Amino acid sequence: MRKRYRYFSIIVLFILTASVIFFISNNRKVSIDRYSSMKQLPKIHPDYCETVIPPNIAPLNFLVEEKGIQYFVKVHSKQGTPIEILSRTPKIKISEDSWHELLSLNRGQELLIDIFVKAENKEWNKFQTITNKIANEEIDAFLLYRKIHPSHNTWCEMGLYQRNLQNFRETPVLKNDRYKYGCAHCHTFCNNSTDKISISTRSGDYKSSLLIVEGDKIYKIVEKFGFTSWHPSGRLLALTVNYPPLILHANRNEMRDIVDVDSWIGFYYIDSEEIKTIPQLSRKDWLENYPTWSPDGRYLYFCNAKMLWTDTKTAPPEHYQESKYSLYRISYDIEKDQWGEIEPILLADKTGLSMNQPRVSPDGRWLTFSMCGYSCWPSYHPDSDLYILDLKTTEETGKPVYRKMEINSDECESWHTWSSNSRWVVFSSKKGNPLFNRTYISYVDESGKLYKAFVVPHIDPTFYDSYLITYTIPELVTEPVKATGEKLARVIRSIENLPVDMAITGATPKKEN
Amino acid sequence: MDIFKKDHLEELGTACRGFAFFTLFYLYLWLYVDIHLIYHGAGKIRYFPVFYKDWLFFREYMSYPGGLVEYVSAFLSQFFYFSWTGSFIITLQVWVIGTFVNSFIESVNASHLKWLRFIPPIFFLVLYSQYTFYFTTTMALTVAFCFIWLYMKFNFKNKSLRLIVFFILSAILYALVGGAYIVFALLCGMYELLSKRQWRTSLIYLLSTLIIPYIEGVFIYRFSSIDAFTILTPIFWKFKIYNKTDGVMFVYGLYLFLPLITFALIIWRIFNIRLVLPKFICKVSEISFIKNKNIRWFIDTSFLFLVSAVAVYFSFDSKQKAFFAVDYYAYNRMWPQVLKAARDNPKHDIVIAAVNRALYHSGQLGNTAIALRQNPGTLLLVGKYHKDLYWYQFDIFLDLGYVNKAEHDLAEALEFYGERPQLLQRMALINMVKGNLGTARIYLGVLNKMLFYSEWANEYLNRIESDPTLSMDKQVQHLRSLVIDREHLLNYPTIDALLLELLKKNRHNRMAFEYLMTCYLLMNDLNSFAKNFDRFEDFKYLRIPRLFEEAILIIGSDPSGRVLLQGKKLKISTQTFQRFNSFFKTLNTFKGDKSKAFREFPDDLRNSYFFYYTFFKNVYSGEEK
Repeated sequence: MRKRYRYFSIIVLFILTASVIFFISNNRKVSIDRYSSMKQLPKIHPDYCETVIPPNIAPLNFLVEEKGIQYFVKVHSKQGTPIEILSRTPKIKISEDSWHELLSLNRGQELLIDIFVKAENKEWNKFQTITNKIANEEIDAFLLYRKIHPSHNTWCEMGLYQRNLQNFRETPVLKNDRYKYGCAHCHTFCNNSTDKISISTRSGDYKSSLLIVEGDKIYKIVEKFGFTSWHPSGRLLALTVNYPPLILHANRNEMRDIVDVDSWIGFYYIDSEEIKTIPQLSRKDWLENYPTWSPDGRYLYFCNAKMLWTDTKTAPPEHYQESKYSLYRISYDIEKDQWGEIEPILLADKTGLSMNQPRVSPDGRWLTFSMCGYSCWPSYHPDSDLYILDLKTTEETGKPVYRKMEINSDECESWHTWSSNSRWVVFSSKKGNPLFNRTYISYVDESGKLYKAFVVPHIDPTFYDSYLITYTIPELVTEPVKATGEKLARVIRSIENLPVDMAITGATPKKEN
Repeated sequence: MDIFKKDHLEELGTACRGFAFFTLFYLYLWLYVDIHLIYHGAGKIRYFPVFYKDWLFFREYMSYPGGLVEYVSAFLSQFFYFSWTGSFIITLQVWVIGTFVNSFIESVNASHLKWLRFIPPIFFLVLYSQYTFYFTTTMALTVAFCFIWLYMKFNFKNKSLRLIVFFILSAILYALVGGAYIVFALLCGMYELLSKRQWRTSLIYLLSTLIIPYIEGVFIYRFSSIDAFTILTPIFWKFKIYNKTDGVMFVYGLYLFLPLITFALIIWRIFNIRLVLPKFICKVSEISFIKNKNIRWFIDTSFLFLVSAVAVYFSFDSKQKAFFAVDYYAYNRMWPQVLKAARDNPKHDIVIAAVNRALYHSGQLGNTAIALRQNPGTLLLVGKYHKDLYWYQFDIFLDLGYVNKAEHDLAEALEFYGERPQLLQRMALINMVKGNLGTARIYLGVLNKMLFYSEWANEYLNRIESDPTLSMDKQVQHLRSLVIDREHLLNYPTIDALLLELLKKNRHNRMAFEYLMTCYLLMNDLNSFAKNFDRFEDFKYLRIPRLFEEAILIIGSDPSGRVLLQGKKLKISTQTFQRFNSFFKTLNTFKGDKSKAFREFPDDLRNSYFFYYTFFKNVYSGEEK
């Protein structure tokens, strides 16, 4: 018994000693008095240099890509205690609490990062200080996106996930293994809020449906819808029906391509539980797509292209590479349920490119969209870039005032979303590799200037270097989704659904309502 | 001396038998089944887990019941990469199960049923002989058995203490093994009834089979009810999607045999059923010779090995093994081994396709393709008989230089089979060929996190750093020279159209040329063969392949054909001329009776193109083109 007690005591003592040593070594103050100054900026990965960051963002952990045996990093600003990290590895992980404290004290100020690297000869080298700016405005706390492999015709595991941008927590919202590997498709939120959500799903076992979340109520409409957009009042949902077969190129670097052979825009009225179409947005000889509402609900913006083929059963259809979408809008009075005339905003004939994915900033000032060579799926076009149109100046002058955003790279940019305060844009980019989308954040000031984008930070700065998942359809929301994944999946799996009268065959309605 | 006491001798005998059995079990798996073939998967094992050496990968598994066991199974499965380590792990697992069964049987006072401990090993023999993979679900069962053993060890006399121990173990076990927990609760309940005669406790335990999964699975882990009860068991929907049903009955058997036998034991004891054996068995058991323990040991041991041998005999699938081996060797470009392994399964289209590649790479395609009696679609595994064969197609197209098609097959295969390292290696290569170094780095980064692929991945990562153009990499440079650059879709109407497109890009694409000419020979389209024969000059053949020679002679013998070799350096060999004359001389002896000729033609001429052209002329013409 005594022996056992002795051994037990030794073990406890050992653990305590090790903990104390660990604590001391991690918390000792480091002072580097002698060092050589390097005249260049250090190479860090991801590139968190000269950006504007939200004051509530998670720590920007990074990897120092300079050879050394030890690394010392000092993160500081005008006020508050500098964060000092001494590390034997080039991976720099910043304490969340210290980080948030520093950022919250220094909104609007510069955030400075000093990096010292100890070379093999035991001498320290200090690189030029990295300067970032801390914005005054916060970014919406949660980012939702779909995670999927860059698949072709087949898919297996995928899901919708929400990431808390203030820390590194990512939780599944709806994983497709809850409904036998169906597809979780496009998801939209009303006014950056999770009170009203729509999610398009595809399932061989449980039928394709549109899942609608209104507070605690979750129900589905069993129809194959594509893109959706909530009217800001929450009373109406614009939705599309598409027929977008995948085609594969034998010679291109990005071999995938999608052509919407047929499509139309309809509307689901929440109160009356009806789906209706209007003639202007469901014409047989036009392809209507990507509806999005203005923040005041008075206009529906969308993309439209003339159908250049008569055969809607063959994929790809003839002249598909000449199919270019233009940007339009149509006025709407929700109280009277009356539609105006279609107005062109920006025509493909003028730009020579195809416009897609329009989104209006919540303050109504800007319209962002993507443009690529042809067709409606910019994610598969390396030449796809993001553009911004000044709605105010366009209204005043009667001429579209737009430009290519500063945040574009040589690869594909697409799938963008605005924060609720119109100061942040989050978008998907294949920067650095033409296959996997990552999500980037960029600050937009009041003049519409976009600042250098940075990738959503991860606890492991090398995470994206070996991650075979692509992030699509990022959406910023102010609070987390309240419904659990199982609750959503249960609705998908159930046979109960909202019956709607849709006189539709194919992607263009037979009857006009 | 003690060691010679009878009891010790009996124990020694049992131990020796067990040792011999498991040694043979291990050697069988290692040397005969060749467990590393199961690791390779050959496109038949869909649910072979991947394993990454990082914390985030581990964390993913902790979010659902059964995650930890699935993680450990994924880790241990990686050691199937080497046959000897994989076989050792399986043998150890089987030994643990067998030992537990023995212990359980003893604890319920049914020592006369100790032979039951050999049932699981025999089931495992069958499973692995059929090249199936149910390691994760059987591991869940193993852990459940271990917990039952643990429960039996906590042999408190106090009922309440036993209850507490049971519920603590239940809570932990459900988190570890998910639905396999039910076996634990069932057997603990039966143990309480048989061993302790505590029917109330037994009832509580049996009710736990419903309560624990519901509370933990549905309320805590937020699973659906069905998933909460079935996760990690062989009836879990994921296993059904991932696994074909081969051998699944034996997995059900593993889960059910002990509960069913214990239940039978309960009924037997409750109703005091007397087993009435047939008279002759009673008489045999009365013979003093049989009563001798040594003889009994010998009979029991022989019977065990006989049953095992019979199980292996009836379950081992040599064609399946050949299929796996051919695919493994073809992936690793071990061409002589492909040809040798294919002999055990020569008629399977996928094996034939691999053999075609092996013959091509060995310089033998033009000499022996016809001997395979193949459908032209088998060359590229395309056509209406070859759908969704992504795993088997990507290397064919990669070798041909049809890189985007290979990439498409790999992308589909990745969805189907998961992030298998074989697929990731090829994806990394394709992206290097296409110059997508950023993407290649990501695939290499993933491989770097795997147990046995980091060296290969690191080598390429270093190569990319030092030489971004990969100018010194012969394989990359060769493939780059073959890649099609003309804009068109991945959808050729015919096999020869595709091969001609490849030759248009690079006249020196030898594989495309040989496959094209073989395709024409298989379709008996000698006109097209003749039209393309000039391409022969683009390659440095030392001699014309035999089958091509034979085709040329057939063309030459047709008055409307042209003599292809006029003005060319290479000539037809004397042996081919002799074979030509011999063939038609022999054919003439049958005086037009084709069916008789087909049956009785000499073997040495049956592998000639003359024979194929004469007797298979209308079989494949046109349809697969």
